Amino acid sequence: MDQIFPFNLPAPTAWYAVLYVVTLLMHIVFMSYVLAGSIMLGVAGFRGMLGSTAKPSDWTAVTTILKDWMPFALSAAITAGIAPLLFVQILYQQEFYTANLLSFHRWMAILPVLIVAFYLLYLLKAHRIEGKTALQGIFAMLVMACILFVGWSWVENHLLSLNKAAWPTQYETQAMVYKDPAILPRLGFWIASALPTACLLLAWQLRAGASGVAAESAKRATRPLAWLALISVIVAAVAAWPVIRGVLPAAGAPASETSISIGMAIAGIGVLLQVVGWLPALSGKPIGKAPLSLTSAGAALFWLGILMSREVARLSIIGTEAVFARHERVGTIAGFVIFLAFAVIGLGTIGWIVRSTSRALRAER
Amino acid sequence: MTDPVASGLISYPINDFGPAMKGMVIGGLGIFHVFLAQFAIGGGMLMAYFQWLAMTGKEPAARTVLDSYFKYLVLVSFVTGAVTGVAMWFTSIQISPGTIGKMVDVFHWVWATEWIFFWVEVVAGYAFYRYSKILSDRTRLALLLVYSVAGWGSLFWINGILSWQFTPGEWVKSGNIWQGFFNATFWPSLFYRTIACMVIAGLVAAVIVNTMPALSREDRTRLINRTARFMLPIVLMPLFGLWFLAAMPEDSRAWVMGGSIAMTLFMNIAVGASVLIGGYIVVGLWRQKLYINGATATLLLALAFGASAGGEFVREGVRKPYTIRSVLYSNSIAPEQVAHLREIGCTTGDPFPLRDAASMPNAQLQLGALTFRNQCAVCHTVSGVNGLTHLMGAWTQDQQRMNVAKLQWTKGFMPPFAGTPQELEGLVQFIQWETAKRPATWAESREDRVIAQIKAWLDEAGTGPATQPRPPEQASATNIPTGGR
Repeated sequence: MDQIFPFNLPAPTAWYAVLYVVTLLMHIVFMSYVLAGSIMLGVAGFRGMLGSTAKPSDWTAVTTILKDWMPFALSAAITAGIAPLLFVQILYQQEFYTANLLSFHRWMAILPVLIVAFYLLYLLKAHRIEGKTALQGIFAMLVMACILFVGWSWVENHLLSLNKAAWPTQYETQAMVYKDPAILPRLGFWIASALPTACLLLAWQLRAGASGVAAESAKRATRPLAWLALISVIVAAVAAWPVIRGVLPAAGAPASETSISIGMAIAGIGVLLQVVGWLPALSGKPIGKAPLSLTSAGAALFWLGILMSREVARLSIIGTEAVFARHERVGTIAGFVIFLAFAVIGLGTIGWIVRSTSRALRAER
Repeated sequence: MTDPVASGLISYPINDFGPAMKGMVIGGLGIFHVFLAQFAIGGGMLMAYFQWLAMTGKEPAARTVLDSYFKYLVLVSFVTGAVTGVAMWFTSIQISPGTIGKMVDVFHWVWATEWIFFWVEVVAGYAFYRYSKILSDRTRLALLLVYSVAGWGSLFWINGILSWQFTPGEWVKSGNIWQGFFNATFWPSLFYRTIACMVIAGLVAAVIVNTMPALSREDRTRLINRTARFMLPIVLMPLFGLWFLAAMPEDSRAWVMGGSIAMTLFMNIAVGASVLIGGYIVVGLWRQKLYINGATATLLLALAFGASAGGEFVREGVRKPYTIRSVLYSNSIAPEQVAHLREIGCTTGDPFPLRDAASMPNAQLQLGALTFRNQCAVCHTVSGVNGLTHLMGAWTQDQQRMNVAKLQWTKGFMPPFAGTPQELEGLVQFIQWETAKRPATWAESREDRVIAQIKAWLDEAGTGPATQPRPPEQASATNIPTGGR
C-alpha cells in the first residue's frame, strides 16, 4: 500500500493531494467539454457547417447542442477550476507561483482570452447571426484558438514549474515562451483525452433531447461521435505513459515508477470500459443507458488513473521535506468542518434547483 | 501565530512593470472586479425584489425588466466577475506571491467554502436564465433568492479575508482563524459593501429601464421610484463608514484623517460621491418621485464607480506598511525576519540574476539594483510612478543613507530596511547613478566609515515598524563623518 498514491505520502500532503485530484476531476468534466467542444465547433465552422443556412450533416445535432451549452460549460469550467487552483497553491506554492511569474504577461493573457471566448460563444448563439455561416465559422474558429491558447499556457506553466533548472535563464532572458519539446505532445494528449469525455457528455445530451434536437438528428450523430471517441481514447491511451512518465528523469525513483504504473493500470481499465461502451454505437443505433453508464465509469477511471499518475510524477520532483513540512503546518488550520457543512447545504440546494427545473421541463413537454 | 514565513525568505522572480507602479495594476483590476462583482450580487437581490413586485401585482412592469436583458447583464457580469476574481488571484501572485500565499495558507477552507457558494450562484443563475419562462412565480422567486443569498455569501467570505489583512486582531497571537475572520472591521465592511451592491444594481437598473422601448414613461418612472426604495439603505452608509473608521488601527486612521493627503483625498472622493448619489436617491427619487433619464442614471453610476474606486484605494492604502498587518510588510518580508536579514542580507540566496547587470558599471550598483528589486520594487519604480529617483533624488547622499536606514521613521507607512549596511549603500549608489542618468563609469563607495555610520543608523532605528513604540535613542549612534558626495 505504501507504494500507491496517496498512501505513499505523508498524511497532510496526501489529504491535499486527494482533494486536488477530486476537485480537478470535477473541473476536467467541464474542461473536456469546452476544450473538445471548441475544437468540434472550430472544425465545423471551418467546413461551413454552422448556421441555419448550412447543409444539415451528421454533426448538426452536436453543433446545435454545443452552441447552446458551451457558454454554460465555460463558466462551469472556470468555477470548477477554482478549487483545484486553490489546492495547487497549497501543494506546490513556490513552483506554481514561480512559473506564473516567469511567464508574466503571457500567462496573464489567459484571463482576457477567456473573457473574449465567453462573449464569442454568446455571439455564436445570437439569433442575429443565425443565418450567417461565414461569420459563425469565424467566431467558432476564434473560440477554438482562444481555448487552445489557454490549454497550451497551462501545459507550459505545468512543465515550467517542474523544471527548476530553467528558472534563472527563463527570468534573465525575459522569454515570453517557455520552450520545451514536451509541450506539444502533452497538449495533444490532453486534447485526445478530452475528446472522448466530451463525446460522452454529448451522447448523454443527445439521449436527453437537449437543445430541442430531434430524435432523428440525434441518431445521425451517434456513429460519428462514437468513432471520434474511440479513435481519440486509443490515441490518449497510447500517449499516456510517455507523456506522464516523460517528466521524470530516465532513471526515475522505483517507488514512483510503481505508483505511476498503478495509476496507468487504472486508466487502462477506464480505456477498456470506454471502448466496450462505445462499440454498440458504431451500428448507428441510439445509445442505451447501460453502455453510456459503462462509458461514464470508464471515463471516470481513466481520468482518475491519469491524475493519480500525474501527481505522483510531480511530487517525486517537487516533494521535498520542506514542502511536506509546509503541508503539515497548513494542515493544522481550521475550517474544514465549515466547508463540509456548506458543501452539504450547497449540494442540497443544487439538487433542489435541478429537481425544480426538471419538473417544470417535464410539465412543459 | 508565530510561524509566518519564519522558515526563511522564499525568493520569487520579481517582474518589472516598467514605469507603472504594481499597486496601479492590482488596484485597477481590483476596482473593476469589485464593481462588477458587487453589481452581480446586488443585481440578484434586485431581481428577487422585482420578481416579488411582479408576482404580487404591485408592479406589473417589473416582469418586463426582469425578463429582458437585465438578467443577461447580471449573468454576464457574474461570469466576468468570476473571471476577474481568478484574475485577482493571478495578479496578486504577480505583485506579491508571499502575501497571497500566506492568505491561501491561512484561509484555504474559507476560500473552499466560498467556492461552494459560487457553484450555487452559477447553477441558480443559469437555471433562471434558461428556464425562467417555464417556471412558476414561486419557483422563480425561490431561485432568485437562492442566487442572491449565494452571491451575498461569497461577499461574506471574501470580506472576512480582506478585512483580516487589515485588522487580523487576536489571530496574530492565537492563530485561530475565526478570530481573524470575524475581526474588528469585518461587520462594518460587510454592511457597507452590501449597501454598495444594492446601490450599484439599482443605478444599473435605472439605466436599463431607460433603454427599453416596451416601457412607457409612466412605467419607467414607477420602476425607478421602486428601485429608489431598494437603494434606500444608502442612508445607513455614513454609519457603517464611521464604524469602519472607528475600528481602524489608530495609525491607519491618522493617514485618512489628514496624515496622508492622498489617502484623505481619495476618502473624500468616495464620501463626496456617495453623498451626491445618496442625496439624489433620497430627495429626488424617493421623496419627490422624480424620473431620471438614461444620461443622468449613467452619470450617477459613474459617480458610484468613483466612490468604489476611492474606497478601494483607501482600503488598500491604509494597510501600509503591511499587506497583512503585523505579519507581512508590503515587500513580503515578515517583521521577525528583519533582524536576520540585516545580518545575512536580503539579496543572499536570490537565485534570479539581474536582467540588466551588464549595463551597470560596477558590482556595487548591481547589488543596489538587487536590493531595490527585493525590497522596494513592489511599491516603487526606479524613475516611473512613485519612482525613487523622484522621491530621493534631491536628497544629499548622507540624507539618503540615513533616511533609508531609518526608513520606518522617515515615513511611518514604510517598513524598516531589511538588509545589510552594504546593501543599503549599494541601493543609495544605485539611486544616485540612476538619478545621474546612468553614466558609463561610476566609482564604488567602499569606505568603512560609511558602512559603520549606516550600521549605527540601522541600529538606532531598530527593526520594528513605526506602528510600534520607537526604541530608545542609542547614545553610541553618533554621527560619523562619511565624506559623502
